Amino acid sequence: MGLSTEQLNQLPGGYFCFSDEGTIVQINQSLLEQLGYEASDVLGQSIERLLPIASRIFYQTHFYPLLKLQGKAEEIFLSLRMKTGEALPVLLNAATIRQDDRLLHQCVCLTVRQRQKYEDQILEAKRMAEQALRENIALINAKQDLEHHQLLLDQQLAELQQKNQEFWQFGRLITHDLQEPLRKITLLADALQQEANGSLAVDSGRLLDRIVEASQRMRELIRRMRDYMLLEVTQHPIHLVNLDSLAINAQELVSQQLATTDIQLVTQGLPSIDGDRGQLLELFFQLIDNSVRFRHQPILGPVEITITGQLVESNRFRATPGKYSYQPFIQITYTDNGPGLLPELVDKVFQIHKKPGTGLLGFGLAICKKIVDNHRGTISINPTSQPGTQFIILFPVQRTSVINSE
Amino acid sequence: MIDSAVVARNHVTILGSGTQTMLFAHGFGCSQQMWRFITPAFEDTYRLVLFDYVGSGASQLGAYNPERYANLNGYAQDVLDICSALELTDVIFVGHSVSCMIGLLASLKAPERFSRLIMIGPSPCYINDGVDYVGGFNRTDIEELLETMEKNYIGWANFLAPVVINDPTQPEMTQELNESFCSTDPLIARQFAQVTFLSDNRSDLAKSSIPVLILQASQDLIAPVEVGTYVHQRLRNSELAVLDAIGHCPHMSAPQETLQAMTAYLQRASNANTHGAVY
Repeated sequence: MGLSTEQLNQLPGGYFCFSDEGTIVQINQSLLEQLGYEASDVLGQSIERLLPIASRIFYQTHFYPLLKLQGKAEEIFLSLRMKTGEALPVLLNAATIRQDDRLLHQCVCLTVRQRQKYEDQILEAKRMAEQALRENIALINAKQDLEHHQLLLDQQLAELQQKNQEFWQFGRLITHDLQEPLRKITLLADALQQEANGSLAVDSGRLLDRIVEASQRMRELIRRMRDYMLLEVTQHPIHLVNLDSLAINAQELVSQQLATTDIQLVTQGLPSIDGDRGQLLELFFQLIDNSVRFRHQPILGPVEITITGQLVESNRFRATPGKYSYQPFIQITYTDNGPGLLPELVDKVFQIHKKPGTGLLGFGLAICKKIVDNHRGTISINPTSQPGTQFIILFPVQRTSVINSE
Repeated sequence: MIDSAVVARNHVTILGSGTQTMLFAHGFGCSQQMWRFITPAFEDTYRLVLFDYVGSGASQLGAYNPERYANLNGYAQDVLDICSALELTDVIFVGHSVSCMIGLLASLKAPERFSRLIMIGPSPCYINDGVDYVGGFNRTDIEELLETMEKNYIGWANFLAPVVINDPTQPEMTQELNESFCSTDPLIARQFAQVTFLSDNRSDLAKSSIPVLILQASQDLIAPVEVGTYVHQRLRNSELAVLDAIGHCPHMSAPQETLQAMTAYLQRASNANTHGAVY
C-alpha cells in the first residue's frame, strides 16, 4: 500500500525532493506550513531559495558532494529560510533515487529548535573544553621550556663553578705564592742596606730605598687582593644587623685609623636587616673611608655624610630582559659633601681600577660591590647628585638563603 | 627517487598511463574522491596525480600544523612538496574552488613546474570589500557557516567514518568507498574554512602569466559569474569558459560538459604548441 499524497502532506515532518540541477520538484504541506510558503512559491525554484547564505555554502561544499559521492546523507544540520526571513533549524536525511532516468534527491527533515538550544550548550561546553586543552598544551610546552632552561642553567652553573675554581687557584697563586719571593726581596734589600752600612754611593742607596718601598707597596696590594678574594669565598653567618649602629661603628673606626676628628655623620631611618655583620661593617667603613680620603683639598670644612634608609619596591630580575617581579627592597642612600667622582670613573669604580694620576689600584668600591652582591643587592652611583657623591644601595627585604654558600 | 613521506602524508594516488602529468587538487570540504567522475576520461593520455591536503580526506592528520595552514601558502606548499617528491614538471594543474588560488600561488613560487592551470569555480576573494569588489559574502555569512559546520560535527561518525556503498541504483558510484570523504577533525575543517573564505588573493592575479582555463558554472553561488569574469580579466593569459552546469561542483553535477570543456582546451593548447603559436 503506497503513501497517498494526502498522507505525505500530513506527515508529522517535512518532506521535499529536488532534481540534480537543484530544482525543487516536490514539497509536503507540513513543511510548507512551517516555512510559511505556498506550494507555488517554491515548486520549480532552486533549492537555494530555501537556504540562508551560510547553509548555501554548506550545501555546495559538503551536502551536495556527499550526495553525489555516497548517494545519501544522514543527520545533516541545516537552517532553512522561512518566508519571514527567519531561520528554521532542521535535521535532515537525504537519499538519491533514480526515476525515469533522472536523479532525484529526497529529503526528510525535522525541526530541532529545542535540540538546537541543547546543542548550543554542548558546543559552548566543547569550546571551553578545547580552550582548557589548548591551555593545558601551553602549560606542557612551558614545562618543556623550563626543563630545557634548567638544563642550560645547570651547564652554565657547572662552567661557572669551574671558572670560580680556576679563579680561586689563580688568586691563591698571586696572594700566597707571590708573597714569599717578595718577602725575600725585601729581606735581601734590608740586609744589603745594613751590610753596606752607609758605604754605598748616594744614588745606589736611593735605588735600594725605592726597591724596599715598592716591595712594601706590592705586599700591601697583595694583602688587599687576598681580603677581596676572601669576601668571595668565605662562608658568613647571617644575623639581624642594625645598620644604624653599624654605620656609627664604621665612622668611629675610620676616625681612629685616619686620625680624623671632623666627620659629621647623620643617619635616618636605617633599619635592621639580615646579613653578615662583618661584611656590612666593612661596606660602611669603605664608603666613609673613601669620603674622608677623597675630601676636598684644601680642606674647606668637616666631612658631612648622610645615610638614609627607605622601603621601596624594585624589580627582582637583574639580568633577564623582559622579566619583572616587583619585590620590597631596603634602599640605602649614602651622600657625602666631597668633590664627587670624575665622570670617566663612574662606570668603573665598582671594578678594581687604576686611580688616575697615582698608578695605584682602587679596591674600596670593588669590595663594597662584592659585599652588596653577597647580600643579593645592588649598588649604583646617582650621576645627578653632583656636587658630592651619592650611592644608592638596594637590599632585598626577605632573604632566606645563607649568603655565599659555597 | 620518490619521497615516500610526502606521498603518505598527502595520500598521493597515481593513475593513468600517459607521460604528461595532470595534478588534481580538491576544494574545501572535500577530498580527492571528488575527481572520480573526471579522471577516467584522462587515464589513457595522461599521468594523473591525486592527493588530499593535510587535514583533509585520508591525509595524515598528525602532519597538520595550525601555523602553516593558517595561510593558503601553507596549502600551496603541499602542492609544491608533492611536485618535488614526484619530481613533476610540465604539470597541468586542475584545481577546484579554493584550490584554484592555491594552484596559482604554487605556480608563482615554482613556475618551472607548471605548464598550465585549469581552474574550476575560482574566486580570489569571497568577501565583499565594501568598495567595488563583490565576492558574494559578508563576514557574518562566514561566521554562520562555521557554526553550521560545527553543528554538523556533533556525533557525526556516519558522515566522517569510512563507508561502504553498495547501491545497485547508483551504478556510477564505486562499490566501495574505503576512505573518509571529509576531513575528520572539526578544528582543522574550521580553520580551513576560515583560511578559504577570508583570504584575499586579488593582487596575485596580475603577477601570473601562466596559461589558465577558467571553468565557470552558470549559477554558482560561491563563485558567481562576475567573480569568474574578474579573474579572467586580471589573469593576462586566461580563457573563460562558462558552462551550462549549475552549482559550485560542475565536475560532479555535469562531468560530461566539464570534460568536454577541458579536453577541447587541452586539444587547442596542444595544437598551438605543435604549431608554435602563442595565443
